Amino acid sequence: MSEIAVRATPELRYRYAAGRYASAFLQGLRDGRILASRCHRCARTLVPPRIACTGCFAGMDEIVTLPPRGTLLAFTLVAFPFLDPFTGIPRPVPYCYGMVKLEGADNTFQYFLSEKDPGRLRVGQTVRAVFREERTGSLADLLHFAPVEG
Amino acid sequence: MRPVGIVGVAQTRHAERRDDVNYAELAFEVVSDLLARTGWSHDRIDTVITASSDFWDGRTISDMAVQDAAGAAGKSASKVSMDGTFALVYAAARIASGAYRTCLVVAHGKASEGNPRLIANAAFDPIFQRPMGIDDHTALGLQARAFLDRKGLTPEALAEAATQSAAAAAMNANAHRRQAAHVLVADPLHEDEIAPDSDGACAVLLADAETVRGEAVWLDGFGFATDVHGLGDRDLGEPGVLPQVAREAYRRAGVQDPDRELDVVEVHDASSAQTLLWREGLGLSESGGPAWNPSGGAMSAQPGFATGLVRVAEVFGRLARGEGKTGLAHGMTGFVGQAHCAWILRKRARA
Amino acid sequence: MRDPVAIVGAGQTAHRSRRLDVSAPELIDEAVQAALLDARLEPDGIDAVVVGNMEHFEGIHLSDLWAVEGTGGAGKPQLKVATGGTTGSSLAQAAYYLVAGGFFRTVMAVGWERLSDSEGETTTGIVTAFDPIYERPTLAGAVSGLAILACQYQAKYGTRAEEAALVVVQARENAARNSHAHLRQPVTVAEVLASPVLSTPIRYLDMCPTSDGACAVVFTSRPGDGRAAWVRGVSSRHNHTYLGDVTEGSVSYLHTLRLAAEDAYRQAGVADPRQELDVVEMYEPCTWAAFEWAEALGLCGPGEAARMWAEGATRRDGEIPVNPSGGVLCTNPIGATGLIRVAEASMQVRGTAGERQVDGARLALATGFGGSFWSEVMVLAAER
Repeated sequence: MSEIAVRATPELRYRYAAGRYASAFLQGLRDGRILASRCHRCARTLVPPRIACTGCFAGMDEIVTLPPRGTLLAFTLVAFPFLDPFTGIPRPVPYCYGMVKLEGADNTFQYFLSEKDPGRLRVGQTVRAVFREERTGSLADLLHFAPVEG
Repeated sequence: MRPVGIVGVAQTRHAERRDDVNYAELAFEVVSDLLARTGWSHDRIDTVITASSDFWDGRTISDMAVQDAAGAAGKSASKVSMDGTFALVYAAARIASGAYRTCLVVAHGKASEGNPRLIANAAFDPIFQRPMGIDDHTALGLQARAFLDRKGLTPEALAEAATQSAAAAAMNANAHRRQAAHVLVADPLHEDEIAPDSDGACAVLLADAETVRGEAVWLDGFGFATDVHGLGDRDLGEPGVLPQVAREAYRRAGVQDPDRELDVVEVHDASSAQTLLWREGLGLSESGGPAWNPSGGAMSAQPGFATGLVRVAEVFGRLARGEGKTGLAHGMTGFVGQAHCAWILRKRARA
Repeated sequence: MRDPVAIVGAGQTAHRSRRLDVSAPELIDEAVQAALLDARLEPDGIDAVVVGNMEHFEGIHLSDLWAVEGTGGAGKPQLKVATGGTTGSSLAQAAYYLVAGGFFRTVMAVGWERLSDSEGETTTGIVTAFDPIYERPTLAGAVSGLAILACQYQAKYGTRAEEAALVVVQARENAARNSHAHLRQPVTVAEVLASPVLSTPIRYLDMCPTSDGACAVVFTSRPGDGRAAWVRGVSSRHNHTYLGDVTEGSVSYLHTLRLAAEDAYRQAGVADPRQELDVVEMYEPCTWAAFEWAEALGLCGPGEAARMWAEGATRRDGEIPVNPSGGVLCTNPIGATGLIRVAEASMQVRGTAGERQVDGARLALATGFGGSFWSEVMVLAAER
């Protein structure tokens, strides 16, 4: 008995509502600023901003601007090809991203890094945010984080 | 079953699109509302069960998007990938086991972010059924035709049921306001005889007998079951496993004469045919008996997996306000009623 | 107040890269029949079923409803619990609570996945678990998420790649004794280090495979005379709105596993896990994670896990055997993987683990891991 496999390719499109906080954050990027939410009860500051404080469940009403600088806590160079669910085509590799503890934030922000050689990156390095010249209110307005020399 | 009581409920105003919120904000909205209504702080919640659909949300592990916003940070939480009434079973079990004193159930659905018809098509068998282009609406049409034929009814019976649902929905502040036309969508069903695709959420807070004191609304019994999958493997014009589910719920709750003992019933009717068919499946006579879908049922709003939990919230609300002592809330998962769940709620002093 | 609950049967399929010889319901049935046989039960001895499967991988919405003829759920109460990588362990927990709460006497947990149906797009599916705006652009599925974790661990303790590679070398040795396992051929440290880099520092052979497979486990409050594995502790914790939150204020990256384990140990009366546990079936999605998890579970101190492996303490005949089944590094059908940990742990305690039996095992731990750094823990004992 031969084995038959039937191919079915559901092509499903989604339109995700960004919501209040992400909309504010993206507008902040367009203005060249990185925004975080701060809890009025416990002062926890989290980036990107979000509605629920993970510590005390208060609504995070306060929006603050963070300095575009921080410490690199982890990084990785992605080297294997895979299909990007956004584009439907393989994501270009290699690329590098890391977790940045921005000054004043209690958590880390995950984003692309300028350096493509992981040998030149170090946990504990100071990095700074680099914005694009032309900005439209999308995450890509932030180009990457780059190590600060010295 | 060991006593599990309902502390409070909340639901959003259901709508065609809630573009102002992402999933976390939607969950936070309904949970904050619940906490405000009950006067509880979130740290009194011991554990959380969420209900959501990965395909609807366009997110694998769709619960990840709502857990923290539902107050689950730092707590044991889990999720049921079915309608909220089924999640309620798991939640009640966590309390009945004695491991937790209180449990929050949060269900959400945003029909507006994906294409519900294409998503529904993806639920049908990829080899034998999907290629026909079947979706939930066409399946409902098949069911409605089979039902009318079996009962010897004309399509006017569906129009009449739809009119009654719409009249009730007009009195429901949380209903999804829509303009539904009397236009054929899937023969014999017209647009106004099919439940809408809604965005919304619902939350129910459960607690054990030590926490819920005095007269309150209790979860007295449940039943749930899943039927076979293939549309040709079951008679769509029949109520399927619903009679078995209802019998189980009645047995666990000690209900012997539902027509007489139930004061209010809320069912998830995805079409006007189901409004009539599920009534039969619950063993109720065609007229008289309990208040039937006073909210307008799912015809008033159908926010995905929150739909059945909203039925629980509606029954709770009426019993809490003194509009009866015993109610039944029904939910479904799957199309044309493959899986059913029924809960019996009773307002009574703690036994 | 709780009804004591025991596992009385477990079954699993032959896990492979592609099980093209069966449809999903047939694959599931293979595991279900094996579990019924092991539990000495007929299908009508099962009162309810809890099933798990990640519908996006196979592209079947409401896959539980579609597969009902394989799960034994047709005409029965059936719940679906699907929580990503933790699906299998979440299933075990749900089945446990349904019995402990007195809702049903005997409940079967069934998990399955046919990752071959996603035709190499498992990472694509996993990426969609994360936020479309903030996380998907950078994340490369579980691989890069785990690579970030490994980077931190490596920076903190200076652990070398050769040390991490020992984890999979040992896993394959164990899997050679497990006919159900997917990857059973031995590997050497040199081979691991020569395998392609996926996402630094994780190489191809550091990472778990994707498998087709199913697993079923029977939970009951009335075990009868047969050997039973009693559930003595159950817990879970997660921490995630966005991935960057996981490092928020925590010293150990996977603090959720530490918290869940502490809770489960407390329930089970375990004061010194290293001494008291006889065997651990942990959900280690990559070699580096095994070190992190072992420390979070309290099996050794911070930074000491590499030495534990190097000294052979984690071998089947060692002081604290880890994954005698071969673990996730050898077998990973996502909807079943966490349940396989529970099944294997229960077999150890019941003495039915055959060639991979740890002699005299009476107290076992099973863990689950998944998206949102979800950690689940179950403690099983030969005594009630």
